[in-house]
Amino acid sequence: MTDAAAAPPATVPELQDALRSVGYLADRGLATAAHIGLQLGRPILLEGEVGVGKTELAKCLAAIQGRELIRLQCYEGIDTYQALYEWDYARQMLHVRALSEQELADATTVSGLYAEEFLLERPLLKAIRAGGNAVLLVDEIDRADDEFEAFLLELLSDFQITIPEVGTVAATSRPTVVLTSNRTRELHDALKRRCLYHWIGYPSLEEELEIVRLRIPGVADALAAKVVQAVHRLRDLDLAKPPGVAETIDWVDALGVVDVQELDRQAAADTLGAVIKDRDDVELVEAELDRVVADG
Amino acid sequence: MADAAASDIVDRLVAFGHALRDEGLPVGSDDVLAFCSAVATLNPGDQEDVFWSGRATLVHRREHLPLYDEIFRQFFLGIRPPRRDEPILEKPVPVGSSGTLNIPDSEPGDQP
Repeated sequence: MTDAAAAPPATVPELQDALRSVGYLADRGLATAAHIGLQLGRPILLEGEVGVGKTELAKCLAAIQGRELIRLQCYEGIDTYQALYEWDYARQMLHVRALSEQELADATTVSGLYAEEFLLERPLLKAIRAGGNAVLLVDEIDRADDEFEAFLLELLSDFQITIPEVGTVAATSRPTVVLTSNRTRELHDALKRRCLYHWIGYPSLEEELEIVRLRIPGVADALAAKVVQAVHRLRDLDLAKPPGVAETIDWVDALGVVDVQELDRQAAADTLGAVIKDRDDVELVEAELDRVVADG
Repeated sequence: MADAAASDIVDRLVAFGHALRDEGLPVGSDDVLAFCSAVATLNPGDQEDVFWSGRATLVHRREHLPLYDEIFRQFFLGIRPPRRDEPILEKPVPVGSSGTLNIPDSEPGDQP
């Protein structure tokens, strides 16, 4: 239907409806923050527990507007070049080799190596070039270090970079930017101030039930409610990897696969792998399983 | 006329930003500007819109959210937090000295 990027929804309820149509339930607070970000062209920083839908929101914002999602997955030790661009060293060497063998190498050969065709575009450069046609997701920025944060902050301000030999690349329009953080460390004020801020916690029982119904149409209400209740109890345990919303959905799916109508102790034990991913957590949960699947 | 109403709204939003700052929240002038711009994309007459706009622009840390909520309630809704039982001061406070207003810690809300 859309061959060009669509304008963002004009109101918060419209944005919520659009997100719902792609399977994402945003409460008023989150939808308002997203709306403001889209309207003002300001980056959105989402902090929260693992698995509550931070990354998913960026994907869905791209989907509802017919935009490309460009993802920069941050990790410990990520440097600016890995995020921006790298020279295709191997290809450059082959090029020089080929020219030398044919005795075509001359004074311009080396500078010729620093050209577009030898440039490996990484997510940030891609985002600058895509501009308003993209949603840039900077995922888990808390895993990167201070230096990378400072670099990112500069980029978010100017949205341009200068590549020696190639020139300055500037975005003609700005992409929507979503940053996520699991809060393993505190981000610097400068970056935070550049962004709109929203904390996403675990959904309430009612909200999570609604999400399950949205994602798995036709699910038996009683089963869904029982699973959601169980997951909330699991989150209260001191687990290394508490289940996120995705795990709740996976668990309902898994129970469906083994054709279970009732979440009793046996069914839970059989399907625990769908919701608990950590070895030590499994032991802890098994000890509490009766309480987790209890009624009421 | 529309301008006067608009500038009233802006005054109120700015005053709210200052109220937060007075309570110790690190609200910068940029944040207040962003807050006003944000509200301008929404409905300034809708308190929920104002609430969420402020939460997204004037607060940058999770720990500050409960205080924001409380000050918003006081500023826009005139709701004072319930006081816990405080010992009654027998000694009259001399004129000219400042009193201390004890605001009990707000409960972290069930905000999603």
